[in-house]
Amino acid sequence: MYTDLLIKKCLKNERAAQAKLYQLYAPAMLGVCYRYSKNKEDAEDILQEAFIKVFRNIQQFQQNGPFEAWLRRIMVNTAISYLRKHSRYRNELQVEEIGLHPISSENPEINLDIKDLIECIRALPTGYQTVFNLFAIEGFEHQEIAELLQMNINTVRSQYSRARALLITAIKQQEITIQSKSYGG
Amino acid sequence: MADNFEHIVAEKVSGFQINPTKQVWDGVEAELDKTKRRRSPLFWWIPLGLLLLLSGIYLMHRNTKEPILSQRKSVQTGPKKAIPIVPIVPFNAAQSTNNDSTNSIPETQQYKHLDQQKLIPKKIDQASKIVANEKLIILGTTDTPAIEQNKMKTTGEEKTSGFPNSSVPIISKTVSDTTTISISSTPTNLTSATSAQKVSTKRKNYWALHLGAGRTNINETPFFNSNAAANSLAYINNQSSLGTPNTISLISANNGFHLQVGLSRHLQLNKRWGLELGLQYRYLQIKQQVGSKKDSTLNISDQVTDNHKSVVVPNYYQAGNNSVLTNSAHWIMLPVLIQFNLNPSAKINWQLYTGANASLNFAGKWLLTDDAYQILYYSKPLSNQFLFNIQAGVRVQFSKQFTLGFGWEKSLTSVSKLSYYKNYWNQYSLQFSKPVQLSKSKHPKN
Repeated sequence: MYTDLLIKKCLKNERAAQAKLYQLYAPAMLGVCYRYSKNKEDAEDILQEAFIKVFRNIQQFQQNGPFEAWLRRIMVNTAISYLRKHSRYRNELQVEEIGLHPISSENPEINLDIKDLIECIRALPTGYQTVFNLFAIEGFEHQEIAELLQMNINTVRSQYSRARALLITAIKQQEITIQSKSYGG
Repeated sequence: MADNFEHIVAEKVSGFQINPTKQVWDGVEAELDKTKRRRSPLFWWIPLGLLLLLSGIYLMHRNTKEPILSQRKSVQTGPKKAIPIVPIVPFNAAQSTNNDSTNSIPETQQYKHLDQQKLIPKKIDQASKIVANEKLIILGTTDTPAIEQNKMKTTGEEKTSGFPNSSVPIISKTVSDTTTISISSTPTNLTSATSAQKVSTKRKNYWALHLGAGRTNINETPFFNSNAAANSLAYINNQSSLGTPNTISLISANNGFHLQVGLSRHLQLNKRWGLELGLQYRYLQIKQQVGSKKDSTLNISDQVTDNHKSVVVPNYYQAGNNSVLTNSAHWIMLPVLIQFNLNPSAKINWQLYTGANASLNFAGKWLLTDDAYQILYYSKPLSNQFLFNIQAGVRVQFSKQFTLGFGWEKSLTSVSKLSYYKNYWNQYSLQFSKPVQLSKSKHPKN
């Protein structure tokens, strides 16, 4: 209800309401942006760009859906746009892979905390990181991802498969590192 | 089973939060403020346009209501005793009939001998001879009231106070250290005092045909600015804000042109000021390059990947084009202009004009970019849109026969409602206009 009230005020361009809405959602949304970028500065750039879009287009928000989902979708799209705009991400993002990789059925336990897990995801190559985020966390279909990234659907499948395998390896390595540290300490 | 991994990861990371630095909100706020400032010029120009319009209406109203005799008061209330303003009578006739003073002659009597048209050429000749032979110096003399009247008229009010279209002989004087006098005559047409007044109150109204052509482009602000479409080319990313990819890219936008034709009604408010009301049609066209082209710099043969497959990089567009799209629009315009004559009596009369027009745009298709989100709009947002434009320019009127002009016009209404960064029409044109006679009763010439 509080969010609804803020949205109504934001529709009237009330700056105080915009600030409150931002304060309410910015930390969670920065968490989303952070997963798609390689550093916090880039994540903040994405967040800023996305919130500008949010306030300019808030009239497009359909009240029948959850606001946070709409917000998250804008964050994701802005992040993709940002990655494609900047050359340090661009070359890695648009890699067309011809070979198909079967999705592994490995289903390991995850004993990492949130921060470590997110760092593992962010350590993936940009293309894998993006596809994994979109598929595993945001819940996009392969076809949707292919359209969003303007890729072949097989490339998306292939990248996801490799991303998943790399992530599992990274998680295991991270767990070993943490364990060894704790034993050593 | 595989879904468990994704599910666990999604669940774990869903609550992840980081507090952003203060600079992020500052940036958002600054950008939102910038947006407000972008819109503000509109609100400055609209009242200005209205002010100009109201001024024109006021001037027209004032000139219509004010009786001609009240205008004469300014002449009559000089330091000398009131001298009635009458069409100048033949020199000798005035001398012979004004032994006392013209003041004492009733107006009707003064006009009476104007009926004697046959006498006029003769008497003018006589007057000329007297002036020529006797080298008469008018300034300072008091015994030649008729000529004094002319002196006042020529030095002071000239046509505005008397008889703008008068066909009464007019003695004009060029003032210098040594006074010279010349007498000229225009075809005599007055028959009575009443008709003289009618002539003096008649407006120089006429219809005019307008033709024009010029440059058309679209700017990002209502004022001079670089091309909005070109700005979006710094990086072309076909991604809309809400995730719908576009399949077409705007590569560049050229300056276009417009052609126009129309009719206008010119209302002469007074000697200096005029009002113009028109109905015009304008055709506008801009060509834009569209399509996609692969950026060769990204067409790399190898990539740092595990499998070292050959790599193609699709969907990056930086330059070039596949085709050219022609945007065209049609406007029906209702301009209202106020015109100021810089030298109304001269054969070559320079005029300044400003005003506004309301236009109905019924373009079929028009492609434009949205800088904010790099979205391309085509067709629908532009259709059936009312526009409000301001315009200004300069014209030269040659012997009141035809006029050539150069004008600038800017829309205060955005081209499209959808684009966040508004785009505005910006046009320069060369104009030609010529008075036309729409009916026998009207005189197209001034």
